[in-house]
Amino acid sequence: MTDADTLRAVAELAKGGKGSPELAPLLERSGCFYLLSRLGKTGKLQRETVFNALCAKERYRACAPVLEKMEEASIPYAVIKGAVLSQAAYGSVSFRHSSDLDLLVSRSRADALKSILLENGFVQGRVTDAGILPYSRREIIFQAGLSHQTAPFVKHTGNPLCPYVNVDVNLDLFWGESRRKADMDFVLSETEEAEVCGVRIRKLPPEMEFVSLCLHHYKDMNSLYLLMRDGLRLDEFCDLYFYLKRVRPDVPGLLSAAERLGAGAYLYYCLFYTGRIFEDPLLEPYLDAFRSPEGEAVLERYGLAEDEYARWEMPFPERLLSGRLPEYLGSLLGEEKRQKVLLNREMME
Amino acid sequence: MNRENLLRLLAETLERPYEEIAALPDGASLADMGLDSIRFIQFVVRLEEAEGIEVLDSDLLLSNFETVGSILQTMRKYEKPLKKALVLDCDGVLWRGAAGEEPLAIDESCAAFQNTVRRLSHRGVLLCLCSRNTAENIAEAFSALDMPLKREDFAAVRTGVTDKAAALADIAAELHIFPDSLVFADDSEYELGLVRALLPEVETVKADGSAPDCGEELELLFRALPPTELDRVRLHREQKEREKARLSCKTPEEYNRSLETVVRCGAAGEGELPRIAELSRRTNRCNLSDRRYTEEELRRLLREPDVRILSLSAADRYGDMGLVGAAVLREEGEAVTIESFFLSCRVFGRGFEQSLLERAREAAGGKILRGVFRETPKNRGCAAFYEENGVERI
Repeated sequence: MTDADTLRAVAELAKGGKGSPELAPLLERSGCFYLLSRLGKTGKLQRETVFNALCAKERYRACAPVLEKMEEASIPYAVIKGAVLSQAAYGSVSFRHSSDLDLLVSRSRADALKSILLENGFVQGRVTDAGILPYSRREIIFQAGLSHQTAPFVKHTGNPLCPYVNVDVNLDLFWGESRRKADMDFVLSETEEAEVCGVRIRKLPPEMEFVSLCLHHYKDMNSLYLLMRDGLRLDEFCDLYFYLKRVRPDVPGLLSAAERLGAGAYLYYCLFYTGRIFEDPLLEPYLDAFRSPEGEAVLERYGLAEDEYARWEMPFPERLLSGRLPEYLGSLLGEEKRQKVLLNREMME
Repeated sequence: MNRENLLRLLAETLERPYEEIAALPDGASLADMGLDSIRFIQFVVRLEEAEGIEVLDSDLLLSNFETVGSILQTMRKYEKPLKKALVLDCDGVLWRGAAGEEPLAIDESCAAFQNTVRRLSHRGVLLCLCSRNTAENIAEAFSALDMPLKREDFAAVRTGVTDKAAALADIAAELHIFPDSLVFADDSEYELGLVRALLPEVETVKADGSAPDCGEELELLFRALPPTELDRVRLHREQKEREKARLSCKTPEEYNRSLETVVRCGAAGEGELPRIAELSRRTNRCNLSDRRYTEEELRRLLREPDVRILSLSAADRYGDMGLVGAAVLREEGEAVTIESFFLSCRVFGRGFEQSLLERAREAAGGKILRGVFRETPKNRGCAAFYEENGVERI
């Protein structure tokens, strides 16, 4: 199949069509388990979905006391991405692979949350073959100072199938390179209660949740470091599409939240390319609402900071499907950008 | 956070001469001086090591480190209160044994401890006593024992004390300092625990001869106190005399007249800069912009054509109080800004602040006079000072 045929087949499958078995390797490779389930059961699918559900349960069980303490301390928060997103977009926590639980709090509450996590047995560290290796102070400063997250927290669970639980503390919806910062008091001003894996949590209301999802995925789709590591990910477009399809956030509400945060152009980017893949009329009112000169301007470029913006020379289907994107970008990088990517790799991995 | 130390760390990180960094205006962009992501990390690591602190995640934002001003503002909360006075228990601390009950002795560790305390006193640390024992027993012990410390070395004494936390708060009030400026040394875990529970801002030190590093610990706690040539015990004693006299006067005017106060206020000379720098670092209650200076900074400011430094010294019939107030003024077009205004807490409220402000007004000529006020938990009492005196507060 050509790249265009592949995209057509993915769109057909997503809209309820039969789909081609030839899509299975791509969907498996990309972690698009919901679409894969529509092709019928495969061993890989069964293993992955059972594993995802089990890990999500373990993760939420381990984090329940932390969430309770946050409630007690009246710390406004929301759980984002991961199993919460999987449940909203695909109707089950098992269809999305996730390696951590993401908490969104304002920077002013980061220290209080850190104390709660440390009191509950979490440490800021990475998992290695030898166990948990605490981050160096340099790494902690790098992540808290230059990214939108603090250095991840990790805890041993004792469950051999899912031995460690990771918690990411997100302090902003925008990425570290962005001069624009989200008004987190506004973002977290309204949260709703939900239950995930039997644990009561707080999540963002649909419109803000979709804004948060778009900004996160836009960052992944434009970060040189992440593009060179993971390429452009089909599963992220699936998240966006199925979220819209199942949740149907209110268009005026979405527009208002995005405008307040100055995120309209980035939402347009996500909606535009999701539309390119799934070609569903469902997206049209969203695209119409968000189409703007600023939105059009970001479509053909990549990079997260002014000094790294560059124009795409590779067509969208090829950069999504060929698997050659990391290598291609690597060949274009100048020395300064290469050093920046290396620094990210050293500090974040 | 000492501004000079911070600028030195910054210069080291940016690999620039200290003088170049010290000359930067507070609002100048450090990115233009080379503060990129890597140097930001290096700087924070250096800062943490030098100050023995850990910068909170909530403060670790590049925008908090964009200018010298924003760094100083961010670091303000990490400042440890300057320790100014050491309060000592007597029995078991200054000597072995309980005065009035058993024979007393000065063993080697007592003598070493007292010598350390004496050194601190010479550096400007105010010494105080706080004991459960009676005034008579303590006085007798001081006259009977041959030891480095003498009764007259102590600026405030509380004896027959049943609640040491309350006594410490009382001593702080008498010395016109906040309790967080006190260090308390005692041999009893009970007393130390009581003070930690009721006055957590007071630093406590176990001093019973069993902890050989206790002297070193005290030296460390007072390390940041700028050395002084003033005889603080004498100044304090004179202040007590003034307060007694105040009680016998019916009005503040009568009291001021009775003191025969002489105030000298004018342009500061080069020789006064060390004392002005010291005063800026020691004053909290009446330090309106909370700005601290090093001698070097003041010297540089004195050379700037738009800057004027004023000093105020005072004497009265009880003694010479020395230089007790200063202000730094900067001319900016049609306005003159009082960048800093600080007065020793010993003399605040005696009208010296008005004298200094009047001198500032004269120095401003006909120009608009405005004053920088940066609120801290300790200078809130002076928040309305500029407005009440017809000066625009900025």
